This record gives sequence, structure tokens and C-alpha cells, in this order.
Amino acid sequence: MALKKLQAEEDMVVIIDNLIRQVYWDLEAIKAKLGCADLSEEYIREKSIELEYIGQKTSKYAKTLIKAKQGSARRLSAVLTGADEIAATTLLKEASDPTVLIVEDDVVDERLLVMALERAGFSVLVARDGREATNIINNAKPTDIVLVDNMLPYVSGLQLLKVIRANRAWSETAVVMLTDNPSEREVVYVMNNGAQDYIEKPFNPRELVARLNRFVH
Amino acid sequence: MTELLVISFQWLFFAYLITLNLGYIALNISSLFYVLKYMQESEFENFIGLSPDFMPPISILVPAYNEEINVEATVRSLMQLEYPEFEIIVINDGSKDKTMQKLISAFSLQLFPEAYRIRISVKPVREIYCSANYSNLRVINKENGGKADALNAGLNACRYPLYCCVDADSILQRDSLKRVVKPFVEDSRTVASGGIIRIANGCKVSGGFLTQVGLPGNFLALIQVVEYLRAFLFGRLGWAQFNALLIISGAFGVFHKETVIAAGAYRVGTVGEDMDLVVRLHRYLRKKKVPYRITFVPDPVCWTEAPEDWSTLRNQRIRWQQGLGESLTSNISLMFNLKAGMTGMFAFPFMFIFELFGPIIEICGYLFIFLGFIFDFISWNSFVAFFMLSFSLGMLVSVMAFLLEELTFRLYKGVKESLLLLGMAIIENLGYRQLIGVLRLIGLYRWLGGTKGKWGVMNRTARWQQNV
Amino acid sequence: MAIFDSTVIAFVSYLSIGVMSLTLVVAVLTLYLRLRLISGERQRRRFNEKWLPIMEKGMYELPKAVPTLKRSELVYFLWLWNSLQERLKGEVKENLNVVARMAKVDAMLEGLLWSNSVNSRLLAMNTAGHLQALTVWGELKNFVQTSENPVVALTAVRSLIRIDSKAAAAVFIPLIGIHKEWPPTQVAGRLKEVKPDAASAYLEGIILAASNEELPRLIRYLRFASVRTAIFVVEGLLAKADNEEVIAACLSVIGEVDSGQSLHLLRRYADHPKWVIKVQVANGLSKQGTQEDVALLLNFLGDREWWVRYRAAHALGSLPFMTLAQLEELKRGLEDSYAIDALMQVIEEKRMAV
Repeated sequence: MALKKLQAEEDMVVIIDNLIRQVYWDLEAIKAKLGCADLSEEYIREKSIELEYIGQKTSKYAKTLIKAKQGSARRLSAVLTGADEIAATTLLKEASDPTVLIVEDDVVDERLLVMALERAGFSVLVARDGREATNIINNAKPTDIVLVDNMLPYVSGLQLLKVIRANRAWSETAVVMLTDNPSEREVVYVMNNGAQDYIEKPFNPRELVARLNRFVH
Repeated sequence: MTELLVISFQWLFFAYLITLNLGYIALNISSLFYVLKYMQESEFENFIGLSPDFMPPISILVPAYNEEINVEATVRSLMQLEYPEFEIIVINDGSKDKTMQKLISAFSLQLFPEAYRIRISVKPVREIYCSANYSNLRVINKENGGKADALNAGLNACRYPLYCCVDADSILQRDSLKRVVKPFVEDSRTVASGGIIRIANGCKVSGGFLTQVGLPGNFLALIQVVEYLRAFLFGRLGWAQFNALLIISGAFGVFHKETVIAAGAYRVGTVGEDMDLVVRLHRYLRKKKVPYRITFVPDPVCWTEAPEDWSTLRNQRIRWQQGLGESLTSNISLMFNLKAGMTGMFAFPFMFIFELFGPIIEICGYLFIFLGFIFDFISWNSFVAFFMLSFSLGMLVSVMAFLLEELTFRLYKGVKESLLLLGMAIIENLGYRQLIGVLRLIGLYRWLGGTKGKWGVMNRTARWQQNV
Repeated sequence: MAIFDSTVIAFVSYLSIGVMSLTLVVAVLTLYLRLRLISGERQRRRFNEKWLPIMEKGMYELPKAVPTLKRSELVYFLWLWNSLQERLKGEVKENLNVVARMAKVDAMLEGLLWSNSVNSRLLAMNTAGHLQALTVWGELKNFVQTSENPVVALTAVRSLIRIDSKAAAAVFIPLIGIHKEWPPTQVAGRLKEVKPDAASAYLEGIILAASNEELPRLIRYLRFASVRTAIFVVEGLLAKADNEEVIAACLSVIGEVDSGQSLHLLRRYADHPKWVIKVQVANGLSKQGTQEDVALLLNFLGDREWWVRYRAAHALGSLPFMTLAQLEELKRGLEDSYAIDALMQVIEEKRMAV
């Protein structure tokens, strides 16, 4: 069921891609034709208007494409298993945006984080709890960054950190902990166990993006 | 002469019925005030949440006897409680099955040379283990001594000033600990806090936590939902308003360790060690003239599986009545004790007269009326009048409980569910209550006769549980 | 043979009818509340669907206009808006404030502060804090000073702190001594939000004015003052203190705030007869102790009181320069079996933590 959804998303992206390509072709064709000297003034005027219109459509479609890609990336996070996650992150990797896996159970926090990161150009994958995240880590291609909340259902944030660090495929991935109660002991533990940084909640979206950008090559 | 006897007995029964139900109605009204005050700020407080910096650390005690099936799941789910600092102490009470082995392999337990402090004497502790993966998990392996003994052994090893006792088959919510600890944070006189025990049958459980509330399909369990609402939930809250709460269920409760130990900790050999402790706490603190608070949070925090078959239910209720008898009589000095305030003057006598010995009057009364009608010394009119009164009083109490539920935590949201519960309330008053009365009578008889209560084997179905 | 005569039966019958009608009334009331709840939830859902995107977008780009907010919707708006504000820091908060002002929330806020529902009033107070609404400073201050409900008072304090923490400190810290019913953990939370510089002078003030009974409770708040003030006050108190609770509280403060400059104060009490004080000495030395304190702690290991032994062992384990090998060495030198047990547990814990 989820796989079908994924394929539908993929199809949509491909269709939009083709549409844009077609529009550009038309644009090129008209430009080429306009280059011919023996065209009447009327024809030129008509085609200029058409050109302008197509130009607008192009930029609109381009925007839609970007949005669709981003939307797909986010929708792909819901209840996937095994092969779907591989497909998910493969699709993401195709986009050359830096990728982030967000592991957060609070719905509002998740929305805020996703929005802040997508605006900054990240491709975002979301896991709602430690179990989903473990699934992704064990089966899918690594993301550039993992942003983990310390309080999670089923597998705690700290346990998840250990899981990520134990997985060789994810050794290049930067792990950043989100914590609402950064006690000295917790911070020391987290850094000692392989996290690159920790961010306090309540968080500053600008600061978050700046910190995460450090880990993007 | 016999006529006089019969008449006076009828009046006695009449008086009993009225007083009992008036008592419950009064309790419900008292609960109403408590609950309205509580809910006044609770929406905002839950929204803001308690700051994790200052939540007091808690030791969670889990006594386990022959729990090889459940123990790993229970411990794993406890670890995911949303609470900043807590430790888990499992006490293996000389299990004969593979409980210990399961624990050792699941949590990488290693022998731990703990300087075990024997403040309360318990059956010998063999070893203490600590988990290599989870630094806040310890397991005490001891010789069998019963649940009270196991809890005492756990108390000896507690590192934190507050402790929480949890049954191995209790199902919690992730924020249960946060909710039940609130009274301690708000009022430093608090020595014990319990939560309302709800029925888990029909709910979805995942990873050891409740994920979705639902009504059970089993008829017995469904009636018990209504029964719990009427008798156990809001009846208890009513007493909490006056600091006269006599029962905090051992399935889930948080206590102040030092106070409990000073009051004698858990008494070995009783069947209802949880109630015995609370009653004794009242007695001890009143005697010492220490200002204290024993309270309840109306939030749903702990869920437990109710018996779905008649024989388990039967054993459970008989056992409860025996436990009640033991706890009350061993603390009889509280009865009508003016120095004990509301606890001594109202709560204790109420429990003693209506909960403990009430079944005698109640069952005899019903029997009498029935027989009287059949043998024709009670007219049809009397019969109908009494029946109507008894039934309507019971329904009033049930419906008030529904109102309270609506004002607080509205667990069963659909219209269909509400109507089902209403229907069940009718049936509950029309036979179930009386049947339970008979069981309590048996329990009373057994207790008076000196039969020691025994733990029956619970037929657990756990169909509705998903895997971890 | 009728046991009861007809008047009694009639009375009982009427009583039952009365009780039944009351039951019906309660049932209908319950149903009404349920229906009202369902419709309220539906309204809230629709409201959130409309406004959440506006607020989220408003966090990053100033909107040209926002839909009109009806007075009846104010509470829905505030729950949603506050849930975002509580999770954020920085410029986005100010942008959300702009959105709120465009919806004319600040005008409607004052009215909500006097609402019948305590939840709504708390919500309004919280909003005022995020909005930095100076206009309601007076009302908030009034709630702090006069409210009998600790939740109301302390929520007002939090909002005052958000608006102006220095002025807020001047308002609420002097009241801590009087308001014994304010839960210590909540007071501690507020003190943490106020910076030490602002809090110090007032904390010093209330301690100087406190009676002997109140002192232990109030001394513990010194950990939120600046280190200099805390040590200064504690030194002064210890110089003339004879009450063991006061001494223990002072020592616990030293243990928490000190950076190693005041260990001499702790060491002075190493021979005190009361075990509660020895426990605080051990606690205090655990992070800042030096090599010369090892002997002191070893001495504690042989103490009669279990808590002293326990804390001393943990203190030895936490000393920053102490290694596992050194602990083993110390253990070998002990003869007392209790001391050996205590130290063995600490060694094992340290080994497992590595």
C-alpha cells in the first residue's frame, strides 16, 4: 500500500519533469523561429506574447516541481518498511539537497523542524519514534545529518545514538541531539557517545539551520 | 414477636440502603468539587508541563513472581516512561520458572556488589544484578517471601526519596509518572499519591504502553468498567478531598520512602498489603501529629486487565474482601477516633460498616424481600416500591459517576460507547451488584473463619496486546 | 400480611420517582456536556486548520494581512499560538508577536485576564509574557502579590520574567519567604529563569530577614544567586549558626555552587557529630575535593551511619582525579568490612560506566 503511494509520487515527479522539459523545448523552438529575419512583425508580436506566457508557465511548473519533490520527501516518511525506505532515500539522494533524518515524536515540534529545514533547502525524512528510526537506519541509505530528540517512544534518543554509531554505513552522518533538559551529565554522555552537537529546546530555527549547515559538505 | 423482628429487620435494611447510597452520592458530590477544582488549571498545566529540571527522582519497584512471560516486556515499557530521572528495581521473589534467566539475557545483567542495606528484615537476598546496558536497572534475586516481602526488599535498595510500586501486569501511559508525581511537587506534605486504575480490556496496547482506549467486548469486563467508575474511581476521589483516602492500589502508586519505612513498611502475610499500608500510614502520621496528605490524581494513569471469566472474578472479589477485613481490623484503633479526623470519624467507619460488613445486611435484605414476597408477607406494592428505590438510587450513583467522567477525562468518546455504558449501568444495578455482594459475603465468611487468602492464578488472555 | 403500611409505601414510591427524575436530569446534563464538547472540538479543529499555516508562514515572512479574529475564537488562537511560542527561540518569536498584534490579540488580552475560567486566565498570562505586553504589567504584578492560587501567582511571575526579568525579580523574590504554599520546585524554576545578577540582591535580602525556621528552605535557593553572593551569605550564616538544619542547608549550597574556593568551610565540619552534616560535607567534596580530602573521606567510610559511608564512597568515586586503579588501591588499604562494601559498589559502578 505504501509502496503504491511511493510509486504514485515518483510518477508525478517524472510527469512534471517531462512537462517542464516540453515547455522548455517549445520555448527554444519559438526562440529559434523568431531568430529568422523574414518573419512578419505581426508574427513576431504574437510569438513574443506566447513566449512570455510560456516563460511564466515554466517558472510556475518549476516551482511546483520543487514543491512536489519536497512534499514527496516528507510524505515518504509515513510507515514504510524495508525496501520502501531504500527507495525513499534513493529518491532523496537523487536530489542534491543535503538530507536530514528527523526523529521526533511531538507533532508540533516535528512540523516546526521540518518547516525550518525545508525552507533552508534541506531534504527531510521523518521518523516518529525510535523504532521507525532504527528501521530506517538499518535498511536505508544514510542521510547527511540525523536530528534526534532525546525523549522518544520505544527506543530512547541515547540508545538510538548508539545504534547509529554502531552502523558503519552511517559513520559519515553527523548526529545532533535535541534536548529539553541538557543536564551536564547528559551532554557529556551524548558527546562521548558520538554526537556532533546538541541543540536545546526551545530552539531557534536560524541557529538550528546554521549549526546543521556546518555538517553539510 | 417474630413480626416485630421482621419489621425491624426490614427497617434496618431500608436504612442501610438509603445510607449506603446517600453515602456514595455524598462522596460523588465531594469528588465533583475536588475534580472541578483540579480540572480548573489542569488544561493549562498539562500544556506547559512540569519543568524536567525539578521533577523529583523516583525508584520504581517491580515485584515479580513467576512472570517469565511478561517480565521483559514490562521492564522495557517502564524504561520508556517520559521522566527525567528514575531507576527500576525488579525483585525476583524466588520464582520457580525462568524469570531470572529471561532478565539476565534480555538486559545483560551482571553481578553487582551492592552494599545492600537491611533496614527492613526480609527473606535472604541471594544476589543483586545491574544491567550493563541500562545503568538505571537493577535486579534483586531473593528467596520467596510473598509480595509484601519483595516490596520491602526493594525498599531496602531504593536510592531515591520517592518510590513507585508497579504490578508486573500494570499497563501505564508514558506520562503516568509525571502525572502521579504532581501532588508531591505541589505540596511537600504529600506522602502518597495514587492514580485511578482503569480497565485495559478492549484497549490497544503497544510496546507495553496504552495506545488507544476502547471498551471491552467481553460482557463481564464491560460491566466492570461501569462498576469501577461507580465504586472505585469517584468514591475514592471523594475521600481524597478530606485526606481520608484509605486505599491506594498496589498496581500503581508513588510513596515517600522514609515515611513508609517509619510506619513499618509492608506487612508480610496480608492479602491486601497495599491497603494495609495506606491505612497504617494514616494511623502512624495521625499519632505522630505530622501534617500529611494522601491523595489521588483523577488522571487515568494505570490500566489493568479485568477478569473476563467468572471464576477469576470470583476469586478476586473474595480475596479483596479478605484483604479488606485484615487491613481494617489490624488498624481498628482508627475507628471513631476523634484524633484521626475525617479518616477516623467517617472514612474508616464507612469502610467498616458498609464495605466490610455491609454485604451481610444487603444480601439478607434482598433474600428477605424476595422470600417475603413469595411467601406473601410482603405485598406486591411494598416489593415494587423497594425494588424501585433500590434500583433508582443505584442508577443515580452510576449516572453521577458518568457525569464526573464527562467533566474530567472522557475516555470513551463515541455516542455508541456512551449508550452501551448506560445500558451496562442498568444491568449492573439489576443483578451484578447483588451477585458481587454474594461473593463479598463469601469472602467475609472466609475471613471470619480464618482461611488465609491465596493468590489465584489469573486466566490472562492478553488477546488484545500487541507484541513489543 | 403487610409489613409496611400504605403511607410508607407511598413515601418510598414518591422518593423513587424523585430519584429517577434526578437521574434523568443528570443523564441529560452529561449528554449535553458531551455534545458541547464534540462541537467545541470540531470548531477548534477547523480554526487550527485555517490559522496554523498562517502562523507558520508568519514566522518567516510577514503577512500582508490576517483574517479577522473573533472574540469567541480568541482562546483557540491563544492555545495554538502559545504552543508554537513555547517551542521556539529567537526572531521567529517576534514574528509571531507581529501576527498576534495584527489579529488584535493585545487589545483583547486584558479582558481575558479576568475570565471566569482559570485555564483561560493562565493562558492570557502566558500570552502576555511572550508578547512582552507591558500594558498588563500592573495586572500581572497584582496576581503575583494577591492571588491565593500558587499556579496563578507563579504563572504571572513567569510572564513578568519574560517581559523584564530584573523588575520581575524585585517583585516576586521578596515574596518567597511569605508564600510558603508556593511549591519549591516551581519557585526554583522561576529563579532559574531570572539571571543570577538580578536575583542575588533580593535573595540575600530575604535570607537576612528570615526566621530560623524558614532559613533552611530559603537557603537552598541561594544556588540561583551569583557564586559570590551565595558564598558570602553562607559564610555569614555559618559564622553564627548553631542550628544543624541551617548548617546542613548552607553546606549543600556550597556543594552546588562552589568552584573549589570555599572547601575550607566544608572541611571545618568534618568532625561534626550529626550525620546529616557529614553527609553534606561528603556531597560537597565530591566534585571539587582535592588530594588532601581523600583522607577525610576515607575516614567517613568507617562512620557508624550508613548514609555517611554511602555518600563518602560516591564522593571518592566522583573526585575528578580519582582513577579506578587508585580506588582499588584505597580499597586494599581498608580493614572495615562496611567500608570495603561501600567502596566496592562504587568501583563496580565506575567500571560499568566506562
